[in-house]
Amino acid sequence: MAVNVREEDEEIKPDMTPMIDIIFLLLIFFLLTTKFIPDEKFITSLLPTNKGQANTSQQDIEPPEDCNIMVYPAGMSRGQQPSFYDNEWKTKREVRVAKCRVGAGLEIEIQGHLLSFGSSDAKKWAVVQEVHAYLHEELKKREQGSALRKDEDPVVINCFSGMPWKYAILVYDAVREYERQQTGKGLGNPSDLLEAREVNFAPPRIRDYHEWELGNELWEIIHKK
Amino acid sequence: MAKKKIEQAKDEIDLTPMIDMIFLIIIFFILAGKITSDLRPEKITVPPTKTALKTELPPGWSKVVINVAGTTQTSQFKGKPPRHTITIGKNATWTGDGYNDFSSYQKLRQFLDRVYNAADKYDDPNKTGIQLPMVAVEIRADSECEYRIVQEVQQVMSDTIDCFPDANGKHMLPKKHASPADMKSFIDIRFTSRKPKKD
Repeated sequence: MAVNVREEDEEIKPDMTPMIDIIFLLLIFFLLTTKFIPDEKFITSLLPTNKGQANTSQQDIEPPEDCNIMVYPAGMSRGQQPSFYDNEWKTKREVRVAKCRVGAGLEIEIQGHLLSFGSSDAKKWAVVQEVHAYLHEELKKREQGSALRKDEDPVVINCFSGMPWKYAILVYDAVREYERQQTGKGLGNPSDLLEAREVNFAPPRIRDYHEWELGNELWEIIHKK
Repeated sequence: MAKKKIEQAKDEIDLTPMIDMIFLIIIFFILAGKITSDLRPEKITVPPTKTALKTELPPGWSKVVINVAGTTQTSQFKGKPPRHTITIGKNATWTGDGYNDFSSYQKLRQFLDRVYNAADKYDDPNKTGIQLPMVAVEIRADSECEYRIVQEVQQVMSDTIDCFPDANGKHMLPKKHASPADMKSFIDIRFTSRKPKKD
């Protein structure tokens, strides 16, 4: 009787070893191939097509009124010669803090070093909020009351070409958020953007670079209104 | 008899809890992780913004991811001209050194021409006569990358400038097209970004 029971036991119990082997293999596969990237999202943007073929010249997208937004490194005071800015830029080259100004309005400082890789989300969020609040207020002052958003003066972002990308996109983001509040649309679809106010990055000013031209570019952006 | 049974049970380790745990770990990795994608190099940290959305592509559309890296940090390029890289997919990485190196833009334009020729087209809603490809371009630029690189990538995409030298050896001048139908413009851009958590 006892012998019978034992035989039955052995038949029921399957051999687990191959299954465990395969499961370990799977586990190792997932361990090696997985990575945790932060959740990346997108800001949709449309390049203008209706400016003619020569839309690379600055004049063509010069806004009629003062909806210019300037972004440039902090610590460069106005009223200097281009050579001064060129020299400043060559010696520093790093933009820890930037300045942002709409038209001839007051400028604010953007604590850009808090936006970089090692910084905490709370600090980044605070900087983002600050820039948004400033630009929303400035843009509100310059509302023209057009019936359609696309008839409002286009906003042009004039960012110094040597700045880190994070400043330009943050300013763009703030203007888009302002427009989103005005239209109530998400502006995530290109079709929404066709009806929205134009927000453009100014085309590059310098072509066939010589390094000393950066001083001229800085001078122009710092003194532009 | 009873004694023998107990001894046998001691010999064999009970594997069930271990298998349970391993299954749990596997399921965790399947659900929480994303398999490494060569389209998105990890070394790029995208900038933080507030309005970024998860956007869906319209049916029939495809997407091209342009990874743009380069540095503005002094420590990274002391004495050398600032360098940038434009990466598409796994094997296509184009480097540009300094301000007067346009080779990366030229390679990008050649790549975009191929994408344009293969893509389905639609008429520009602004009635310019330009045939636009049903392709969205994701610009996944590093947060510390020089802004001029992103500017130039946008100009190259719109096909309004010529990254190849003209008769006088000048680069990046406005491009002359015989008719708007010749323009190979990509206009639909998705700037990659990440929304920081509030707390």
